[in-house]
Amino acid sequence: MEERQRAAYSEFAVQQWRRLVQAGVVLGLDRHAAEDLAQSTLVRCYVKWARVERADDPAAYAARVLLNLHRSQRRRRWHGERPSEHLPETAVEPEDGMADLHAALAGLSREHREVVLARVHLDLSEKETAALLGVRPETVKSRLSRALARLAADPVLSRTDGGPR
Amino acid sequence: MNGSDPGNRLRDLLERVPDTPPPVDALVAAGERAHRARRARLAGVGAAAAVVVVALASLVVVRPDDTTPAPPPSAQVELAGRWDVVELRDGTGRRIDLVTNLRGRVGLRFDPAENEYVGSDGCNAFFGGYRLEGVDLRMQPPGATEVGCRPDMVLIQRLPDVASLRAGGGTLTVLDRDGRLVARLARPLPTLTGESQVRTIAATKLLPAFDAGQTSWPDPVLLQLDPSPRGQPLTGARPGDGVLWADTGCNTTGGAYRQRGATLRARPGTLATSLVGCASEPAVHEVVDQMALATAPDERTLVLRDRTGRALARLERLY
Repeated sequence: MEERQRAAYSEFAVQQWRRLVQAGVVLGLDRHAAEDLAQSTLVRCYVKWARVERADDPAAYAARVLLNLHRSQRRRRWHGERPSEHLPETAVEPEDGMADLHAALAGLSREHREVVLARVHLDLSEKETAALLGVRPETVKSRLSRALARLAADPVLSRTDGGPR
Repeated sequence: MNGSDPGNRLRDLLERVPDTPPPVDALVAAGERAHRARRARLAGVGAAAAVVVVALASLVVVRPDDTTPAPPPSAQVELAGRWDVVELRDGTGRRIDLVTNLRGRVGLRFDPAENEYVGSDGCNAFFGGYRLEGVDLRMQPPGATEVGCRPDMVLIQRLPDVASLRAGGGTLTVLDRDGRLVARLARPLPTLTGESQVRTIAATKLLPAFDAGQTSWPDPVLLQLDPSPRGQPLTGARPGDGVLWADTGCNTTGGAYRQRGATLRARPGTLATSLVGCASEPAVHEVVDQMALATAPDERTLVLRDRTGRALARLERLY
């Protein structure tokens, strides 16, 4: 990669990093897994940098890569698990300040998280979201409606003070 | 959206995600490694060398299997598209048992427009560039995810050794520089075409329309039936044997199944499951245990039934 391209890529990575990590969180990952997913996404973008640069919306391209990576990782998830007769003695507690977020998102299905990611976090249009998720715009609308209804019913997200519990 | 809108509230909460600096240098270094490896692999593979390799490859006697003769060489190999890995050997020639490790689909997809491949070893995803000239195939060392699995990433490790291809009998035989078998590839089996020809169904969704009495779950329930790739060394395997896995969004189940016509049975003793305690979990294990008959009302739907014909689950093809 030429120096100019490398500089452009570095700038892109800096710009997209936090948004991609947050996207991973919206998809239900803890912060560390979300950072891993963001890293994998940006490495993939590096390898495909010429294509990313040519894209009409490089940020949307990165989002699509992230979503595809997450879907493929999720399909493989069970391979990392092993049967066990015993449950862990203690659950892993979310980090300070993120418990509310994880609790709210835990009530959403994968499809709902994905549509929230696209429409709310990435601020994509209905049509762009439909293209990203591979569904019809009507499906986007109905999924978003149901997802927001679930979030609205969440005791944390329905509060208006904006402060932590 | 106003201030109490759940979307806005969600955005507020997302601001609490710690703002760590991006590891730009590490990202650039990882990308560079892939590029360097590709250049090193492909540099020096000139036309003359390609001719020599083609000639050597055509002379090499290959024994991919003690009972399976090597397919005849082909000058024109149609590589584009999806392939299942149906046999895999490590660098010592040891055969990797793909089925009884109960791993996911092991396969590759070649994109000739970009000269790139992507794939999965059933555990990790990988991608890279390739060059095909006649039967001479060079594969760039892949970039890959690094999920820990057993056995460790044999396919990913072997890809850079690939030197040539032979096509025949509907399969591709992939050889290393010494003419030793790396892998045999086969096109994925045909998709579901009708009740009398139920062969396989890919990822499916367990619809909430059966006895569990619950109409929705937080996560989609997935049941995937993968046919045993042809030539798999599964003990007692016959065409129609395969592996299944199910994901309830809480626990996962894996095992082997047998399919004879429309009869679909989990192989006794092969099912394994994780044991995470979750509320409202779909009874996938019961479905898998009891399934005896598969009927296909249409190409996108498969109904699993027990021995009495009672519907246990209605599966909808997702992709």
